Amino acid sequence: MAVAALNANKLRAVLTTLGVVIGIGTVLMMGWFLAGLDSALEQTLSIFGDDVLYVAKWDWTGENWLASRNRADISFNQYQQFKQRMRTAEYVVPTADAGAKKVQFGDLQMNGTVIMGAGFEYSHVVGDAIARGRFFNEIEDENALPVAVLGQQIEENLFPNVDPIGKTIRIEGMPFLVVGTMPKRGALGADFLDRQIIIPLRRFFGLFSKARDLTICVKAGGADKLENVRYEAIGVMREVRSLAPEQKNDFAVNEQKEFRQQMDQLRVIVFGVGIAMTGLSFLVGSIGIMNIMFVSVTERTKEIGVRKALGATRRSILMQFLVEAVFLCLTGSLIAFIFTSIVALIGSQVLKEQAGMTFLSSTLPFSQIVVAIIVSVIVGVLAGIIPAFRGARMDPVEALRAE
Amino acid sequence: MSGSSSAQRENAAGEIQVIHLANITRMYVMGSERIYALREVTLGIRRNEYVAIMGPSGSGKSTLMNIIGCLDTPSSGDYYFNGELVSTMNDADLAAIRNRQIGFVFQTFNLLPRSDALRNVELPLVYAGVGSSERRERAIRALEHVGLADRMSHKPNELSGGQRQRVAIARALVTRPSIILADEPTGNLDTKTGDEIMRLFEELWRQGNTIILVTHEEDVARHAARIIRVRDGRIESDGPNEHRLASMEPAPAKGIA
Repeated sequence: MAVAALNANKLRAVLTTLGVVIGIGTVLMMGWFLAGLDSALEQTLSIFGDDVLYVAKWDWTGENWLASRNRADISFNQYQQFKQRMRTAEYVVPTADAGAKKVQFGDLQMNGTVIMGAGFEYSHVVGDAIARGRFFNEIEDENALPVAVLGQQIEENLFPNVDPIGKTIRIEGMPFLVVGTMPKRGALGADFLDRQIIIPLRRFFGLFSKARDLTICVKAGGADKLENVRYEAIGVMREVRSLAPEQKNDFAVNEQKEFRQQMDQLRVIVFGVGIAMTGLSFLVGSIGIMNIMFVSVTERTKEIGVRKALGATRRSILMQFLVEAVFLCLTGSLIAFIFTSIVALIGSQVLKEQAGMTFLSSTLPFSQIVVAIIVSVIVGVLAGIIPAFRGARMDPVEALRAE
Repeated sequence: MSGSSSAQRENAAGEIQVIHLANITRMYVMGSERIYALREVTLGIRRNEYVAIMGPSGSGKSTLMNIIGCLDTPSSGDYYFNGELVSTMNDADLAAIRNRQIGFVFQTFNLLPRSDALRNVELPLVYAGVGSSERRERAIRALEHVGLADRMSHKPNELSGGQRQRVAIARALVTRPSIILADEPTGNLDTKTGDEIMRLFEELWRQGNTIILVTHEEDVARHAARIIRVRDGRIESDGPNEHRLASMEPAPAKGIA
């Protein structure tokens, strides 16, 4: 009955549902985006490891940037001293980066890769280091052999149809044997990971000179041990850097938490904007719904009278109009769902291709759909309750007299 | 005025009256004025009576009908329906009485325009909480009863006036009510169709139904066995219809369309 009544006023119903469509659409979009952020965050964090400290000249939080610039590089010699003195860490692994390098395989060439020199234990430090093949071993590391592990993007570009394992690539003209490939790791803010080639650090020095700033990865071997290891790392590093007691640290001990904090800020912004938009559109939407329900109740005064004469109680009239209002809202949320699904499907594809944002899912998270349904039912009831009460409280004699 | 004894609610045969009004007054307050639509009306209707309530507009007959139909409650006086005091009932109880005990037939039919005949007839059973299969079955039987077996899936705008009124009568019958309360049932119909509807009421009466007609037309009232005339909020006369249409043949159950 409720549905049939709406059918008669399709255009008006559609227009007044628009507010609800926008409201639910915003909720869904926000959920979609935040879910994408979350999965990207988890992916990134799993790569950096939740029990790994990164001892470096640079502070990842972006604080002390000017001070960091003037700090002395962390040298290989300092790394060796550091590793020797560290007692509590599970692994201590040196890394160094050199950006924007040219890599070739046969006729194919790729610019803008990131070459990372690392100790052989690096594969124990990061999550998901190897997709196929293997990481280079201690002997290859010690002897500075020209072996390489390729990031997913490099494999894709240089080896479109060929298995890269066992092939020889050229980095800055020098030949390297590919021993392994990495899985797709690039996520939000870490897309460079897929353009990475990891080679033994000593080989890296041969290629780019030894005067390189190092980052020392310190794996605690459990998130609970992280704080102890951090204290030791700071103490040891101060010794290695020969700092006097009154001097400040001239290095930073970073961890993935810094990423989480940055991500949380982004979450708050997205959520805040989303809530504001949602609230506004729901306000507009519910006023629209309330309006159409008042019109509906007035137009059907006679029908209310007839229904009461046939035995409808106040309660059943109330329910009839509430169901109608909720139905309007659910229709609105269905439209919003379809619309947002299309946006998610196309948007994730476009953002991936145009902006390299790979973290957005092409489908809406199920929990968001449940939330949207619950919210639209609540909005429907809230917007419909006053008009429905008016209908329910009508005097049957008066209502029957209406034309 | 609740002093009416049980003797008053029973007729000579000791049978409980379906309708018993004792000193019913309905008053409206309009500003500082008091308007009496009904004054001290006392009235009894037995099972299987065929009563016409007559009166010009403004006589109070509509108010009387609304009170009998439990759509309105009196300002004072007691109203017993099947021996039960209904004049002090709340909305939900009154709705239940309207639903189960009273079948309304209106001048303008008052069918729901977007529902087909079957759904319209089912509606009172929906409010009675009858399950869908039984509801359907009973609605079909009611429509067959009024000769509309072949029009069940038609919407009101696909039916003639007489057919619409018969759908409305089927809707009134479907709950097997104690009374059928018809308000100017032929008012929107031409003479021939009106006669057909009156024959249907005649037939329903002969089958044992209690029928109360509210009308201002002598021609319509003449079909009834008893005529109650209302004027200025009081019963002017109440007695058997001396000029009952003798030519009335019981209508056949089918084929009167």
